[in-house]
Amino acid sequence: MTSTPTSGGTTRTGGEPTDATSVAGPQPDAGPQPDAAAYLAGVMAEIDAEVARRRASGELPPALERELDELFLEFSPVGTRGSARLRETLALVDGAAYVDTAVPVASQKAAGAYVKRGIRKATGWYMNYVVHQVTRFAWSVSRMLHVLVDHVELLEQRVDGLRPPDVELSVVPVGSASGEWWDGIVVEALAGVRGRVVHGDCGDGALVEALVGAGVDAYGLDPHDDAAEAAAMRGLDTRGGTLLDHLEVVPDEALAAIVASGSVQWLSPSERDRFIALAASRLAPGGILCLHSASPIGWERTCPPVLADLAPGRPLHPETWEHLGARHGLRLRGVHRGGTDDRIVVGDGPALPEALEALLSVVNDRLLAPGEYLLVAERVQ
Amino acid sequence: MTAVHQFLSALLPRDATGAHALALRSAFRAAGWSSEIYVEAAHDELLHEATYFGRYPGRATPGDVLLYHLSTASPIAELLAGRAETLVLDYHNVTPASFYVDWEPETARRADRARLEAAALASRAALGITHSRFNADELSALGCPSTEVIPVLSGMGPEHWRAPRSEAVGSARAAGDPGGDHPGGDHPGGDQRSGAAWLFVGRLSPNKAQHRVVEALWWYRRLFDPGARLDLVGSPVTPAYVAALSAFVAELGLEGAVRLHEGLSTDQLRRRYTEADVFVCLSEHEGFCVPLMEAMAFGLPIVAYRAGAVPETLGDAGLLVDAKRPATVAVAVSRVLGDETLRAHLRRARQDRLDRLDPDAARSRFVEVLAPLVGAPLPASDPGPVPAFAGQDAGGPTR
Amino acid sequence: MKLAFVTPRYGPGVIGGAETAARMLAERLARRPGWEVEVLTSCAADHLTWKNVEAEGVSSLNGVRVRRFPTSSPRLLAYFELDGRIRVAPAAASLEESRRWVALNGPMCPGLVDAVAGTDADVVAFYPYLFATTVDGLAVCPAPTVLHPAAHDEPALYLRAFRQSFSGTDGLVYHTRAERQLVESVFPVGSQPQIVLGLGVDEPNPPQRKGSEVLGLEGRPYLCYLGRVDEHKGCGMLAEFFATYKERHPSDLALALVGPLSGPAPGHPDIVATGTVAEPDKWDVLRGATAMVTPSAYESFSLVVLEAWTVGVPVVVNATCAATMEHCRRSGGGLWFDTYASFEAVVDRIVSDGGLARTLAEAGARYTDTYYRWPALIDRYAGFVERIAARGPKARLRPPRLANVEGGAAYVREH
Repeated sequence: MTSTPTSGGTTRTGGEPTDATSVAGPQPDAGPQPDAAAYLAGVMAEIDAEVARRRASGELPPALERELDELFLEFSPVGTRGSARLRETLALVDGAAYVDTAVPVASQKAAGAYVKRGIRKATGWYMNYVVHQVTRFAWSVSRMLHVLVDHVELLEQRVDGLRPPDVELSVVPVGSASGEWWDGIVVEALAGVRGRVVHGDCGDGALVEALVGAGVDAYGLDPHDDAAEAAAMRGLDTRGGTLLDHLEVVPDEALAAIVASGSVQWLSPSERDRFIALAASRLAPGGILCLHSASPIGWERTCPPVLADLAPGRPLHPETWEHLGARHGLRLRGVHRGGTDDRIVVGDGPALPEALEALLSVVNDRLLAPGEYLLVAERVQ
Repeated sequence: MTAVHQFLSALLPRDATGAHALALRSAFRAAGWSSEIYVEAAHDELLHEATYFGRYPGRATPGDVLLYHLSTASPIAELLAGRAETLVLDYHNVTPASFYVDWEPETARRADRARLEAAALASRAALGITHSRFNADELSALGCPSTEVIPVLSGMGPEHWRAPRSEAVGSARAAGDPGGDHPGGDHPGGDQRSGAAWLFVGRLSPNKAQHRVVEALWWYRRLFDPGARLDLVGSPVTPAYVAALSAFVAELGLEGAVRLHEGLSTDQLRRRYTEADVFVCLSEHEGFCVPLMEAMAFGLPIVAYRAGAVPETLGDAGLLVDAKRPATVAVAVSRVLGDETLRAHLRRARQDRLDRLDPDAARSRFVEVLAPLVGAPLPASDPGPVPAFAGQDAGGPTR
Repeated sequence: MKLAFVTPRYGPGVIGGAETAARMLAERLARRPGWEVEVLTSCAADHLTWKNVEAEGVSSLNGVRVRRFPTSSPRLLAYFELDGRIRVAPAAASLEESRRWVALNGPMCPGLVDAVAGTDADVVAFYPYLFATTVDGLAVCPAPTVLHPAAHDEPALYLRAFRQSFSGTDGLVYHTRAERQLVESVFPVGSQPQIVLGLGVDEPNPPQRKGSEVLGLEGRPYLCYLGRVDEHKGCGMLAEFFATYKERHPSDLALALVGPLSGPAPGHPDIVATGTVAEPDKWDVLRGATAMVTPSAYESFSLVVLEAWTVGVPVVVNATCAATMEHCRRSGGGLWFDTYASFEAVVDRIVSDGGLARTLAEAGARYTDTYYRWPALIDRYAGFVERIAARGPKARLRPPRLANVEGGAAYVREH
């Protein structure tokens, strides 16, 4: 907890050995007594716990904490905003792009001032016109620079991701959590949570509705605009859009919980990295992430073929999500397994020969059927 | 006559380095050495205490030991690099340029230059004296062959705060005497009664992070004590930071609750310490932090952010927070003001700490450590080529 | 449920998208059982001068209680200086400067802000984001707040002074999805409660005369434009494009510009400028048009597009206008242009292909019926407001009130 090695005093290289005890005198860095250190560590832990408690109770809204942090930046010079120096330099260009017509008028001689003012009035209209033109020119130059910067940033993003093309929305089924085995678990896990909760890929909004009914401040997003629209018409706070895009525009620590289902299963690897990092930072301390996914094997069974093939990514094992999350400060609370169970049970059901036959039939179909195909197509007139 | 002369960039009143140098000079003279202070510049009040460093070559005597207080860029470094006398560095640490980069590019450039000068001088110094292990490690990394850690001497002399240890010395406030002091004893801050007085002493500069103390005060007022106040004592380093800080205070509606003081006399400073209830330090970079030592001497409970040498100086005598979250600091302050067991514990720890930081012992240690060098023969060989930094600009701040 | 609206101006004579929209919402909500609606506004009618013309005090208008407070100063010339300087780089202006801009833009109504601070309403709705009454009101309001930004991609949106309004409000009400996207890209409000509401369209007046009769066009087909006839709304561009089109494709097609004129009418033989017309005539003219054109790039919602669809008329919109494009894309009820070439192609197509025109208009009408009929829209808004009230006000940083800017010459408008 506290500092520094106990050997204070002189350090010499390559010379005589030193004996700490023979070096008398005051040292600012001698070690603490163990029980004192432990006591203080205990006090600090209690303080941390109290802060967490106050946050959870709503006395310390994290959003407010963030705002306070960012507020100070409002007063600091442009550069302290961190990254994107390109944009800041632009701001300086912008600031210089304005031209002031008011020529300073004061002069030592009273007559001088009169003359200058007279000239200004007489030529004022002309000056204004010229300045207007110059200002517009300067403005368009700086606009052009903005356009350039936009393009450069877009290029950077493209190069960064070398993203595979998005899978078309028509191929993605609209999600619905109603009647699913896991929506009750989510509602239970989030009951009593204080703060905003988002369900990404909320589909028809059934889970959002259930959460709202349980007193949770929930809202939803779905890439299918009309599904989100329909849910909004029912009075839910749902919007069109993807969870990943949304998390980009949400402030840090603004969310008490995130429920991710649907497209989170097939994010491209770089999008997945981005997602888990964003999810962790947008959650308030103590915030909860619920993630529903097919298992890799389940994906093979249940996913529509076109989506399974074209999606840029594949579902992960829960252990992998745990591993990825741990890198960003997310600690696993538990894994619940579910979904349709098609297992063939041998024993108290059909007799062994029938069971084996059923099993064989499944294995035949899934693993041993002819493994090649020939596709024939014709161009339409 | 053997001499140990000190060099520093600027001798200023109410400045930790200046006070340290003056105290050292008395110690050296008491040891029977001749000792002068050479500076690049001196404040009017202290003009008579120092000589312009350019005069030194004309007064140099064989056997002189030169002690350079290194905390900022200065042409003194170039002078000393070219001289043959025994060189001792008193490394006060240079605030990294990164703290100033967005606020004052000029100051950032100076900081970079200072680092270069330190690197150049470290390897030619016979000894590097630092005031914390944190600084010693840096100095060793810069190439100094041998380092010694000794506490800084405070401008507040022994008569100000060193007194026989006694528990619960009568409260100056209770006695109505604002000038009283509480040497090591407990400062009767009381519990969370209205109007807790926070104090931080340090230059107004981005690395000292006064704005974070203001944030923490805002939370404290909101959660515990709407009447809490803050005194910030220190002169500005970067005008941009002071402007931002004042605007921030106004924005948060804390104008009546936060006071900025600069140019305080010793008595006035002592009064700030005695009237405060808690000392809060959220500085992000410290080589020693003399105000922490002074706060302990005045019996103040301390909440500080773990950075640089702060943990070394503070030890157990205060609560060290690992995060700068203002809310955590606010809760820590309320704990430290209200928990009697904790206060008693901190009281005991302060005693220990002050013993280790005892200025008399520190003074003796300085003399002890320098004695072998004073009167030692000059290094036989040529001092070596003048280091590369001379006459070269640092070329811009490092990130 | 007691709901208070705060707008800079209010009244039937007020011409301004935001203020009119607020009035439409207020009057319909006031008719809802169990709802009490009041409006806090200034005594000014002209947003350029902020001159107090209406009487101070309480009055009633269509079931809504209206409380008027005087503005404390007229618009000063200093506003124009600062505006010119800041508008080139709004995000670089300091907080202090941007606050000064907001104060100069006005209206400064200390009485109104005091009234908000002491309000007993369950929810207070502010409309739009741009004015001092909104910025100060949001800062002092003790009740939960709702902000209708009515935001465009304009320099003022990027001023730091508005950040706290957006992050401190309890709910946001947008006109279009495009507006929500714009606001979310500028302010960190993505996770705040929101609703995309828009406006409701009224029932059209029953048909009385043929449109071409009203215009004096004797049965000729015509394109129509509805709204203030002004350079800023793109009417100049429309007149030029139309004139060029007529040169290249001679026909009896005419263009009707229906609305108050802010300058001399274009002197083209095939362009009719009617000036302000009565409601029945407006609907008649609209009904008889081959297509309705909105050339403006700066619409925030464009109610007129929906109105055209309710009377079976397809629309042609400026492709750079996010709001009208959103309507067209979502509904499939209109075509768009972004150059003269595309304008020509689109007009040609619509004029010659009656089937296409009908299909477009029907799609637009379906869309309007689904989302923009008043009863359903008011229900949605009322539900949203009730949920905001139930959630309670959120903890927010309360910035100090804007400082009134004193001294300096006032801006005076000649008529």
